Amino acid sequence: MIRIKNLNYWFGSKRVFENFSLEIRENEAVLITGSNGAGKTTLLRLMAGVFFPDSGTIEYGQALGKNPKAGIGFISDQISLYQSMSLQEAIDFHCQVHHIKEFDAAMLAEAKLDRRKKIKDLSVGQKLIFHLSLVLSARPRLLLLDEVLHAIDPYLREICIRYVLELLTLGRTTLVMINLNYYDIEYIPQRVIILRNNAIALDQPMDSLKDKVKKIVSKVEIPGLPTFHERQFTDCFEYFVYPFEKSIVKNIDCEVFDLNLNDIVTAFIGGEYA
Amino acid sequence: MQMNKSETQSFELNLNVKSAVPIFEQIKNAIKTAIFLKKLNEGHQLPSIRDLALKHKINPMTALKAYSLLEIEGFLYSRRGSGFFVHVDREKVKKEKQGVFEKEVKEFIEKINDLGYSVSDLKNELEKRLKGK
Amino acid sequence: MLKKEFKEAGKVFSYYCGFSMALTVLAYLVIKLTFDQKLSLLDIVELFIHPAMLLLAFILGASLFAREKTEGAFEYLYSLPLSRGKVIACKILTRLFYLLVMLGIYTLLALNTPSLKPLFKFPVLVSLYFSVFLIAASLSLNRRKGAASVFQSLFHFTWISAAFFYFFYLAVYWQFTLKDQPRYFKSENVFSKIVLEQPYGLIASYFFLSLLLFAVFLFRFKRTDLKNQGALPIWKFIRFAPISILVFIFAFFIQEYCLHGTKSPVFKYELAGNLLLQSNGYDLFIHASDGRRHLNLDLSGQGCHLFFHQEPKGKKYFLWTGLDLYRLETGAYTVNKIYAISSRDELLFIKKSSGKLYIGEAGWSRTDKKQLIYKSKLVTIDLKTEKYLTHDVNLHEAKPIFLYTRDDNQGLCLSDILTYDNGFIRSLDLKTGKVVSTDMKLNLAIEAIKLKYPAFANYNLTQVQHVSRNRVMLGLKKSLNAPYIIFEIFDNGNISPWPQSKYFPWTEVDTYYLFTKISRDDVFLEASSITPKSLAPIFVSDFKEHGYAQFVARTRNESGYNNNEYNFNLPFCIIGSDQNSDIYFFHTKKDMSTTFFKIQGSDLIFIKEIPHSVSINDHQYILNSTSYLDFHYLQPDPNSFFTSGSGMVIKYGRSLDRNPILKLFRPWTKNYVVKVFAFPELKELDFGDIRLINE
Repeated sequence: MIRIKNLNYWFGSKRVFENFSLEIRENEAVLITGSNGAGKTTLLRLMAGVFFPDSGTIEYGQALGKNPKAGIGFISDQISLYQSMSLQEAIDFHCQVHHIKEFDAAMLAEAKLDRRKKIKDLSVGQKLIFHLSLVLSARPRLLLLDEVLHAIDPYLREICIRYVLELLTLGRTTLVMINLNYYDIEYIPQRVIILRNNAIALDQPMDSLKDKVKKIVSKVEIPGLPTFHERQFTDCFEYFVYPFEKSIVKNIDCEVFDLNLNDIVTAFIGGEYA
Repeated sequence: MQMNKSETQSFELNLNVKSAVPIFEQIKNAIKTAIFLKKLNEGHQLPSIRDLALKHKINPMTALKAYSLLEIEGFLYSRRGSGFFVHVDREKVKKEKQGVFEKEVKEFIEKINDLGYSVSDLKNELEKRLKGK
Repeated sequence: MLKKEFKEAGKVFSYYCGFSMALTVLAYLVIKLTFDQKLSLLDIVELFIHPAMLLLAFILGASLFAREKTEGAFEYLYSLPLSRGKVIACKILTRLFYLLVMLGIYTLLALNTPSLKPLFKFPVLVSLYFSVFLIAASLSLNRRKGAASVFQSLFHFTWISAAFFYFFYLAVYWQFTLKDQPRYFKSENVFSKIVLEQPYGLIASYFFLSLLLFAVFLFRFKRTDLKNQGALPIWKFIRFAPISILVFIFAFFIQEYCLHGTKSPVFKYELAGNLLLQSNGYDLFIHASDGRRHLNLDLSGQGCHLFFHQEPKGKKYFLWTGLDLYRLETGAYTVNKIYAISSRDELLFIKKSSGKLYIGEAGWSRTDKKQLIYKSKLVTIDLKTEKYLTHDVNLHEAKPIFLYTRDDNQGLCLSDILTYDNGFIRSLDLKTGKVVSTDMKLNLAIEAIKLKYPAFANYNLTQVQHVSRNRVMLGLKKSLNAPYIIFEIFDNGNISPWPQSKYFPWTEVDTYYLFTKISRDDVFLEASSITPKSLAPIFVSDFKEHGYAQFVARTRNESGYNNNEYNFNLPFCIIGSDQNSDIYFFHTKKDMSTTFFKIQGSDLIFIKEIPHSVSINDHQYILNSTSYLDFHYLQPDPNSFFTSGSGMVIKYGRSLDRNPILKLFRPWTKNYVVKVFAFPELKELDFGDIRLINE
């Protein structure tokens, strides 16, 4: 669906991406995560066409056709909109530009938004719901969501997730989302990419992730483990291992723990800081 | 074949976040278990992909994957426009159930061994328990 | 997208229009109430409309991305499935639409209001506004928001435009368009006068600059994403600001050198004492010879006269510029305005006699019945006390005084020469200062003529000439082609045909003018128009004797004058006499050139012919005043005057072009050139370097 090849990108004098490559298949649901400043938002913006790569290419699949932006739905963490427009005006404008014949206002109704209000008068969560309803109404083939869900209340968040899932049920959407909070979206992505130091530190299907990433706790030091993060306590050593094989811990006195996504990412980021 | 449209019985689906078992596997297992336990009978309609996805906040693709695999394995069939329905093939169920049973026992023995007990220790313990009952 | 842009542009447009209209009305009310002027709203509009439209063009361009900037909508805009080209096209076209609306409104306004007729040629006007719009649009993607963004755009717009104009002017215009040596001007005058007189080339190239900048902007915008917002890399140029300032200074000195290094046809003439009258072709001004103090003279009047008033202590110098009378103090240089002619009045004549200055003014005014009438008045200024008196000397309702007819240190004769059917003549007694009517005499005289010479009963009186206080000459004519009959009337009532009439070939004279002037005690000059076939006889006769010593002037051949040039019917006019008592006079030909003669002893000497118009830098200047009054046979040339000891003819010429920009900012300004010729040879005077005036 989208293929990034040898991307180089600078933000001012800081190099954000160096020979970065990534491929996302059609109808995949990908989660991109990592510490703040790892380049996630920049990557998403590059995918959305809001940033132009300094060198390298970004290719879009055939499903997106000649004008990729028509099939891309993008919400950045800044929730960029024409703030002085009323909701109705923004809807008309968005529909006209995206050639949407009928706007589905179910989401607005659930969130109890008055269309005559101006966008700037909405709360952050309401703005997000509105922006999302605009984006989803175009039935995008590629949906890019930046870390927007964390700052809104559970009621609105639930609505957002539900409507995104509704879109996914149509089976024609590729989802790339950036999230730092996995509590209620953990089952949605099929693939996880963790960015660390502006490069991909982990890229695994969700199904096999839990198999491959484990925490090993031992009272003694175990050298030679493929760890990405280690912690030392007074009474034990913790090793966050990736990739994990059963053979690694054969004949070693230790305990192996499963990790949830949050723990995995934390450990990865922790590794970055260490 | 009876199609009980009005009776869409549900199965217990408790997803384990930490588990290394992939979600689609967990769904499959939950359905199979329900079939084993006769909570789901022949022809019962399973929740739609959409309902499953929305209720448990999972990717519809994952739900579809689970259902598709079950269909291949023969535990359910799909009707275009109507949904997914349980199919109970007694032989298969028996076989599967047997497989699960064997697997559980094997894993149990392995666990016991890891603790340091032998199979004979296990036998003695079982007898003790059975007698006590 | 188009609809949205239309709304946005329309909002900017209507806000601006509303604001500027309110401001105009407010300015009009404030000025009207404060200065109590007869101002109309249209005057204010005329003054402000061009700057206002330029500003609107600029704002329309600078606000291209205003909404995106203030509302943080760039990310949204860039994520839309619209190509960069489409985005820009929508934005630019909608704003162009409002630009055209603005020009349309202006055109409608201008067509219905003569005073607002487009000052430039329309294509020039249009391209200037488009240039401003395009440059403002090119600068619109700066890093600021709202009003600060507009100001930043304005800052860059200003220095880009200024740099362009300055360098274009220096590099191109200066080198290629100025054929003659340039006149001396300070830089601001250079721009305001020379360059802006012919702005077409400059504005056309400014338009190309704007297209270039806009093309760069479009090209850059295609590659602009959310990260690099400035489509025109202006900030890169800012680093060179110190260098560009140095370049400006350097260029300025080059310009100064060019101006100083070249000889400029500037006229300088010493008026009196340490006062210099100077002209640089555009301005006439006075400055002290120590170079320090200056006065810029407004030459919108009708001539420049210098008068002396001899006082026991010394001489007082008075300069009349056609509008204002100044007293010039030489030594400790000061210039004091003594009298100013009303701006609505015209000068009919100015005459000095025995310590007094007589100014005849006339102008239009309204009667109680709201009728427009042309009223005249006589102003007497005492050169000693510098006080002035006004006499209302309307001879006839709606008929002004045109001139004085004679003076003899005793009185001033004022007459209306349009019609003599009633023969009203008044006289101002210089001693008493009273104006008396002398109409009775003339009426009676005319009746007497018709009685005595019944052959002339059907003749009409067409000319009256007061030769002296007690002698009047009357010219009668029957019809246009009929012979002219001249009669003399004396104070004692004697009437007789003028005996010299026989010298005139009657049949070929169509008009006949008489004028006399007492120049010396023993001689006065009479002249007449001439016929195609003969040379003008010049008669000099002795006044005292009441007789006539016939005098025949040297002919044309000896002075090299062309016979055929004498075919006209305009009079000679006496300028004055110099210390040798030579009499100087001139006459204006049909082609409007002026021939100067003098009478030296008893010889008529041709001095010089000064053409009617002169061409300077492809500008045509008419060297004679175009007022019909000046052509009158009795009116001395307001462009010529004499000072004892030195004589000078100042010919100021008005440009044929009406400078549109000057007209805009200074509607009362005209373009003048001044040429000064000094007697006795009427040599054209060459002025050295002068400094221009800062008022």
